[in-house]
Amino acid sequence: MKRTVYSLSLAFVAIVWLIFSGLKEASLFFYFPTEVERSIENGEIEPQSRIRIGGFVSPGSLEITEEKVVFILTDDEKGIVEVQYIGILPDMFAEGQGAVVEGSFNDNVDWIFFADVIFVKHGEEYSKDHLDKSEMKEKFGSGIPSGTIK
Amino acid sequence: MNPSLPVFLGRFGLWVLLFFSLLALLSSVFSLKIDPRWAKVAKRSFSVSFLGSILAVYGLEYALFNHDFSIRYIATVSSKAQPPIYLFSAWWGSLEGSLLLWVFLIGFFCFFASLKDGLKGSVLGSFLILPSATSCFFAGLMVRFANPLAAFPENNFIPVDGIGMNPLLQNLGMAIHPPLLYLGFTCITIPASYGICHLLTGEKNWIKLSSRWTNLAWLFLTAGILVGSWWAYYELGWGGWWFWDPVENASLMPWLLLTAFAHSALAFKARGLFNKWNLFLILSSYGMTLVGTFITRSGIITSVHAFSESNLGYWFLGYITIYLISTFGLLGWNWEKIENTSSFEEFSSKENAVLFNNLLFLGMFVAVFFGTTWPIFSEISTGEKVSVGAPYFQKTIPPMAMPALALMSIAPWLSWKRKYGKKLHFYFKIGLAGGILSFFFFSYVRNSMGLNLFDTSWEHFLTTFLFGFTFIPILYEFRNTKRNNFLNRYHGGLLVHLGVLILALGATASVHHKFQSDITLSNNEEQFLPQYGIKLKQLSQRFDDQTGSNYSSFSGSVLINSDNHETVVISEKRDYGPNWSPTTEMGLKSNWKRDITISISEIIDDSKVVYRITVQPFLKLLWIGGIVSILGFLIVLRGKKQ
Repeated sequence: MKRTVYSLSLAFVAIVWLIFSGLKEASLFFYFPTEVERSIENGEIEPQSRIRIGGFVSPGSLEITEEKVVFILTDDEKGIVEVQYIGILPDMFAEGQGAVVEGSFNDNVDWIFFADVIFVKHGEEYSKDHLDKSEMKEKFGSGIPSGTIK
Repeated sequence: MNPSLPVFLGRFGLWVLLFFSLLALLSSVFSLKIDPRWAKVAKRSFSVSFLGSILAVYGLEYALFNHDFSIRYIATVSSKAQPPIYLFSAWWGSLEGSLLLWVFLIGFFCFFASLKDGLKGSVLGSFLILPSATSCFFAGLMVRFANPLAAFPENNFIPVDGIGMNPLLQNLGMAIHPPLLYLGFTCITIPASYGICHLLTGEKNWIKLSSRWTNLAWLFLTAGILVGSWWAYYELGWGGWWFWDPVENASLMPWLLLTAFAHSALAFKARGLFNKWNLFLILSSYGMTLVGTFITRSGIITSVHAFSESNLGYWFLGYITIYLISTFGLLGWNWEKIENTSSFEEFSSKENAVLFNNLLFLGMFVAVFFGTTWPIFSEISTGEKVSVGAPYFQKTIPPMAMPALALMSIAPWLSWKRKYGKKLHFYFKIGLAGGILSFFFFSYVRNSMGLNLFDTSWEHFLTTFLFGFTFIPILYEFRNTKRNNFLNRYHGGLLVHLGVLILALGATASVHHKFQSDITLSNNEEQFLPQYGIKLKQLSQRFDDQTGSNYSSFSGSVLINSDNHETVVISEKRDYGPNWSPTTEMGLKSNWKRDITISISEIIDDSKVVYRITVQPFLKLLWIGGIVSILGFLIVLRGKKQ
C-alpha cells in the first residue's frame, strides 16, 4: 500500500509540473488588431516575440504576388495590422473572412507582421460571423440561426 | 403563411417534450421523497416526452424533404440541390437541430434502458432524474432560443432555393461523425444516471447494470472521433488528421474520462474496489459532454466577448454549474457511506495497474482540459488573451500516453489481487523477443523509405518495440485457448489494446516524419525528391464547369513514381459558387508503408500549378489500428465469458 501511495504521488507531481511548464512555454499571446496598435504605442509588444493576431481580412487589401501575400487584418473597432506571408494560403482564406495569423514583427521598423502560419478555422465559427456581418445580414435581416455547424 | 400539418405537429411535439420531461423530473423526485409509486408516473411522462421529440424530428425531416424554406433552420442548412442523404443529415447541420438530436437520443436510450434493465420503484425514479432534467433543459433551450422549427420573422425575405450546407460538410464522414459523437455523449447519460441512482438509493448493482451502456458509449465515441479524424484527413486535403482544435478536444475529454472509468469499473467488478473513484469518473465524464458542447457552441474559445453575445452560453453555463454542484454535492454528502467490498493488497496486481492507468488518463484529461480552456481562464483572470496550440499538446501528452501504452502491454497478463505469476514471466520473455524483432523490422522499413535509421522520436522507437512486445504474447494466448472459448471478452480487450498500439505506431511516425513541400510543375515536367525516391510528373490539367454536380472543378493529374510503382493521381480544386470557399480534393497514393498526398495549392497559369506534397510513413496504420480496436470492442460487447 505504501509503495502505491508513494509512486502515485510522484506521478501526480510529475503530471502537474508537465502541464504547467507546458502551458508556460507553449502558449502564445493573442491579440486583436486594435490591441496590437495600442500595445505598440505603449511599447508592450516585444518586436521579436511570437504572437497570434486574429481578425478579418480587410476587403480590398489582399495582394497576391509570386513571392508573397500581403493583406491587412482588421476588426470591428477598425484596428489595422499589415501582414506579410510567404507560403500557401488555406482554401477558405478570402477578403472579409476571419483569420488568425501567427508570427512576429521581426524587429521591423514599419511594424509589418511577418506571419508564417495562417489559420482559417474549419468549423463554421469564422465564416458564420462573417456571413452574419456582411451580405447575409443584408439578405435576411436577423433571420440567420445562431450557433455553429459541426 | 400557415405551417403544414407535420411542421405544426413538430412544434407541438417540442412543447410536449418540454412539459412532460418537466413532469418526469418532478415525479421522479417525488418517487424518492414521497412515495416510490411516483416512479411509474415519471416513467410514463418520460415516455410521452420521448414521443414529443419523435414528433419534432418528424416535423423537421418532413420540412427538410419538402423544402419548406419558410422555416429559418431549413433555409440555412438545406437547399433544393442537396442530395437526399444530406437533406436527412441536415437535421444535425447546425445548433438547433443538434439539440433536437441530443434530446431524441437521450429519450431513445433512457427509454430502452429503463425497459430493458427492469427498473422499479425509487431506483427507477432516481435513474430518470438526470435524463429528464437534461431533456427538459434542452427542450427549454429549443423552445426559447434555438427552435429548429421556427419560421422566419414576418416581412422577412425568404430564400427561394435555400442556402444549403457547407460543401465541406457534404461528405459521408461528416454525415455520420456528429451523430456518432452524440450517440456516445447521450449513452454516457445512462451510466451517469446509475451512478446517481447508487448515491440516492444505495443500489448495489450500479456498475453491473451500467457496464453494457458504458461499453456502448465508448464504442460510439471512439468511432465518432476516428471518423472525424478520417474526415479531416481526406476531406480537408492537407495531410493533417488531428489539429488539437477545441472542437476536437471537446470530444476527446469525455473519451479520456470514459476510458478511465471503463477500466476502473473492471476493477470494481472483479475486486469491489474504487467505488468512490468510479462515481467521480462517470459523473465527470457526463459533465464533460456538457462542457464540450458548451465550448464548441458558445464561441467562448475565440473570445470571451463572443460568448457574452449569445444567451445560450449563459444558460449552458448555468446548467453545467447546477449539474456539478448537485451531483458532486451528493457525492460529498454520501462520501462516508460509499463502500468498497474489499481492500488493496498487492502492489504488482491488476488493480494497481488500473490505478496507474486511471492516473495517466486523468492526467491526459487535465492536460487537454487546461490546454483547451486556458485562453478563457487567462482572459478572465489577467485580461491577457493567450492561444494554446499543437506544440503544447505535443509536449504534454506523449509523456503520459507512452507510459500508458507500456502499461497497457503488460497489464492484461497481471492477476487480480495476487502478485503476478509464471504467465507474466513467460510472456515477458517472448514479448521481449517479439519487441526487438518488430523494432528492427520497422526500422528497416523506414530505412527503405529513405529515412535515416536512427533519426526518429523516442515515442516512435517505443511504439515499434511495444507492438511486437504485445503482439507475440497475444498470438500465443489465442493459440492456447480452447476452441469453444475462442474470442471471449478478454480476447476482445486484448485486440482493443493491440489496435491502440497500431494506431500509436502510425501516429508517432506521422508526427515525427511528416514531410511537406510545395512543388511547381508544368505539363510533362518532372520533379524528383531524391531522399524519398519519389518522382512526380504532371500529365495534364483541365478546367471543367460541367461536372454534372453543383461545382466547377480544376483538376491536375500527376504521375507518382515511387516504390517501383507508377500511379496516376488526380487532385482537384472545386468551386461551389460565390457563397462558399473552394475546396481541395487531394490525390492520394497510399500503401501500408506510407501515404503520399498531392493537393493543388495554387494555379499559376494554364500549364503551371503549385502542388503541396505530403509524405507520411505508416499513416495507414492509424486507420488499421482504429478498425482493429473497434472490432476488438465488438467482441467485448458480444459479451462471451472467459
